[in-house]
Amino acid sequence: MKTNNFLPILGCIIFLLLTSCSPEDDIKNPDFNPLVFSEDFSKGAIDNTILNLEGWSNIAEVGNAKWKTQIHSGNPYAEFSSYQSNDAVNIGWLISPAINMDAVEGATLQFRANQSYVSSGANSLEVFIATDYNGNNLTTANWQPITAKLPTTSSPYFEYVISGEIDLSSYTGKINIAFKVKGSGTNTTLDGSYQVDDIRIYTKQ
Amino acid sequence: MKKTIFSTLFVLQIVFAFGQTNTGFTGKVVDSKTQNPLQSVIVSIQNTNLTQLSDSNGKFSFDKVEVGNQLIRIRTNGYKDQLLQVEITEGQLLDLGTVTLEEDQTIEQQLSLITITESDLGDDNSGSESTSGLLQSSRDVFQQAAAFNWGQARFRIRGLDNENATTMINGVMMNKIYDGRPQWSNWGGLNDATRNQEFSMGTAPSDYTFGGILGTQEINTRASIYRPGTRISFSGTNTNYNWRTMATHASGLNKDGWAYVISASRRWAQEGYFEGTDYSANSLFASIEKKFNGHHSLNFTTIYAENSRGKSSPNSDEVTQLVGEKYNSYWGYQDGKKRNSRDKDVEEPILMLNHFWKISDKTNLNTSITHQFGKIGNSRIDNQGSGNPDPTYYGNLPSFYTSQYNLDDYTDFQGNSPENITNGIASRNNFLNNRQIDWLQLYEANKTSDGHSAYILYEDRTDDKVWTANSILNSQLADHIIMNAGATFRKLNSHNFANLLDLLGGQYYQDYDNFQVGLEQESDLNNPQRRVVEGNAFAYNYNLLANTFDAFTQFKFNYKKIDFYMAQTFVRTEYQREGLYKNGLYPTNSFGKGAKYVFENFGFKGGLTYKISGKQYLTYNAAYLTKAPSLRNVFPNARLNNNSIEGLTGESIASMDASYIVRTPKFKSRITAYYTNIKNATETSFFFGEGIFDDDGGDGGDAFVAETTTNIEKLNIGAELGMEYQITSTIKLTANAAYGEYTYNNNPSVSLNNDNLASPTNTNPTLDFGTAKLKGYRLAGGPQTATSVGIEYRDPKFWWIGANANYLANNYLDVSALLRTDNFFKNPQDPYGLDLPFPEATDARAKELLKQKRFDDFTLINLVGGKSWKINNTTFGLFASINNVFDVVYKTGGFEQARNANFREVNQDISSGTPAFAPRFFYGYGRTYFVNLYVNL
Repeated sequence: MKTNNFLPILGCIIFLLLTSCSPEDDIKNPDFNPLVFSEDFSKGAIDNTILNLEGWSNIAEVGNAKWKTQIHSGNPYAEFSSYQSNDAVNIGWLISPAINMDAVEGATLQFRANQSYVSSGANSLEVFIATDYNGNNLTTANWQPITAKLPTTSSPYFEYVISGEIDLSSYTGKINIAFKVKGSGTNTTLDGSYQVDDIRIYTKQ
Repeated sequence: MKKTIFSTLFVLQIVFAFGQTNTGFTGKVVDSKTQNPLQSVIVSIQNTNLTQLSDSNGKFSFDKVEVGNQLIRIRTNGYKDQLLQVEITEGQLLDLGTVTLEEDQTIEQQLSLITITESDLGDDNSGSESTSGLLQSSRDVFQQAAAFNWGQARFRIRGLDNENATTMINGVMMNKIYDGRPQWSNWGGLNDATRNQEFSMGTAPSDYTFGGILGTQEINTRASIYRPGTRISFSGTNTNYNWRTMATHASGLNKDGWAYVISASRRWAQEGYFEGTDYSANSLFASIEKKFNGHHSLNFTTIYAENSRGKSSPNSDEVTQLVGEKYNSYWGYQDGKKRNSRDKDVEEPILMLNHFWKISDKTNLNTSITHQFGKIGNSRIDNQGSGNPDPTYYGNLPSFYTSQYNLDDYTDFQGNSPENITNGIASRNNFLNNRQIDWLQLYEANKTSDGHSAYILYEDRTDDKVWTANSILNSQLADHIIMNAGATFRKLNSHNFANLLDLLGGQYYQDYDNFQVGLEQESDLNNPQRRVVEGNAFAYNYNLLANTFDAFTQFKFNYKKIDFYMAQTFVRTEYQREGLYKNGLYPTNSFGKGAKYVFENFGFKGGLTYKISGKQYLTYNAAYLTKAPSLRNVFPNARLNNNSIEGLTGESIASMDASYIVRTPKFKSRITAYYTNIKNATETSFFFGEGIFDDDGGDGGDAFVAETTTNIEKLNIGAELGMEYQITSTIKLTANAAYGEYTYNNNPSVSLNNDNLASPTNTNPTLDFGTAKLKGYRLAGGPQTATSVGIEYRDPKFWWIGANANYLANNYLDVSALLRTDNFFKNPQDPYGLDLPFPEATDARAKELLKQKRFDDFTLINLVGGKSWKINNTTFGLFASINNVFDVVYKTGGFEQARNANFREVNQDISSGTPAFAPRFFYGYGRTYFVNLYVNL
């Protein structure tokens, strides 16, 4: 039987098959750019409780009122209200965890906010960034105001206003973002509330 | 060994006859059992062009044969090949005496095989089968293993779908224009009548057609070629049917030139292997031939096969763990009987007139006209706005509760809350107590004051009418050159509609789409607000019209050391949809004839065989062809509108294989390496998807959608090995192996059609989802690795027994293309309209979630055996087999549910540990038997 070259050929084929690379190595995920930072106040959300999220600072600078978690129609958000606080002045800060901006290019911030029962410009919402916030001492940090589109006294109640894209590309190192509301629990023209939600920092394409 | 004359058991005597002046040999072929002479047996001398057919006395005689060692091959349909080694001496006519041919037992085995190929995979309404039943009675040892040993596990040769195989009856292509696949049920149960078959493997040449890249199967029903006689058989099995009876009679050609064959069979089961799968099939066959003279012969074949069977459901692991792998959610008790809601009914008779014209000794022209008509129906329950009656509907299963998340907090798993655990247990008990369809409850629900049925049973019907005319020319142009040529014209009118089968106690059904509002609800604006009753068409109604013309030529060159061939084909295809309803969603592009789509395609192939010696060969085949898209893919939303896929072209297919073949009297082997590249393939599917579209009015982006994946490139590479060694005259060993890597080789494009967005100004609401990252994923559809070893003992007293062990591996889950588009990461609730990703999405977790599941590997042991007796002139035979002796439970296929279409939903579902939208699987048969008793009169 002239089958003497049968085995070498079989051997070659088996060798080739065993040494070929696995097609699974080629598999890639769909494309996406993970968010640099995101907060939608969902995690562990319990309606109408003092907001207590890991990494976040919830500070009553003046008065006793603090930011709260609220849930409306399945959507949790952060709210600050001086209503019935009985404090003459309320200043509440909600400060994000430190966000590392190194190795991020074209970072952009967006969030959205709405108001209810705000009738005076003195009952205000402001947004700041600091690069030197140490995680607990509000006053030692150098808070730089951010220009963003915010709800005004003429905005319909509970209707979110989108901040617009806020360019953070000049920042490196660690930053914190702060939401500051001023109001009064005794002056009924200053006891409106602000709601903040869907904070995103992403790489602008 | 070379110096002696090799003789097998079946060569009874070899006599040297001296005193002859011729150099050659002579002999006589008889049936081993009946000892009757066998006519038209092909006797050829290997490595030469010398071939003869035995005469009516079974005799053959060669002279002028080259002196020396020669290998003689003796073969005919239905018998095992014989290879004889002889020493030709100058001036001597060697008398081989009586050569006995033994009936090929694979024909008996084939009976048991059919039961497997007829099952279908998937919830596919196309009506045709997606498994490969091709090449089942091929003589190739590897292909026999693929069919008999691996077929039950849905192994597919080269990983190719049978739309790549051309199935013909008398040279007439039987693959459906709709999806390119043959409908085996059209001649199911007629094994004896369809026994005369010719095969070609891969792109090797066929005399009848250019063919697909998987191969061709040609069934010949010409009455005069059947061996005269009567055969009656009775079988019992526990696969998809329980009983089969079959009777066939062939007259042989009488002196007036008439011949006929008739056959009838019935197969039935109240319940097949899987629960609630009833089966009933009746088949009739008649072929009559009139031979007018030596040149002209007419043959008329009629095939009528009706087949009705209950389907079985693919089930998730959760369901299988609760109720076992034989569980089928499609049936329920009604009046104490099991009634299956998903029946498949096929009834498509074939009428064929063939003209055989022997123009000269060297040229034949065969012409045929074929008409096939009839219906295919796939039934199911429609629940218009009422609760889904499917007992495995996701809301009915424990996982619905145990996979819950806090609606306010997507990170807050609630499946283990006391409430959900309690609900899960209640749901489990409820499912176990109500595991089947409750027909009675459907009848109760239909007892409305005005007789309006909430539930009905209907069927998706396809009524095809096909006319085929074709001619095939065979001509020996010169000593070494054979030409084949053919032309075929096919005309299809395919009427598709929903047909109301049963109002389930009600008086009428309202024909409207309850997911829409206003006029958009109407299925037919020409006939709005319609009440329909049993036997009415409703919901959708359209014709698909197709004309195809194809022609091929092929030249085969045969020389002593080398054979080669080349072939080319041209195909023109015309498709058109004609809407019979004016759909409320698509008022301007659903009624009447739509645009005509024309495709022109070419194919080229060629190959050669190099004969190293009479025992060793090298073969090489290569083909490149383009193929029109199937009708199914040209009109992806045919039920509702005339739209086609923009820029759709056909597939382009490249295929190559190289083989080394050894064929000695004792040892036969083939090693093949192959490469197949299919580009520009299209796939379409329908499903309900969640989170796919932008959140529109709080629906979370959920919608019922048609998914179209285009520009798919598939790469199938691998090797095949088949070996057969005859240790002694009675004991044979076989070993086979297949190793393949069948993968997606690019990132195809995905688009979705969302009917909810349709309007008179948006007549083609298609959304582009970009590309799906499919490159590197394995193609689904059977094990990509298979090995088999077998042993067979064949006693001279006409009984035999065999056993084989098979290891099957590398079978993969069908992956969803949509899940692997960039949409996967996009948060439909992103308030900024920027398609920002889910906050929790990470690459690492996505990799885990999207990893393709590989099924468990498994081993199957099969036993086969048979015996035959001859009493007077009657042969009795018994064939028996036990497949999967150890009752191994194994999955044959499955698919991801695309209902969860994004990271958050998949992540939550999988993280819960009890996913509600887990993949669904098909299972293979456990231990099954097949026993066949037959009588040859």
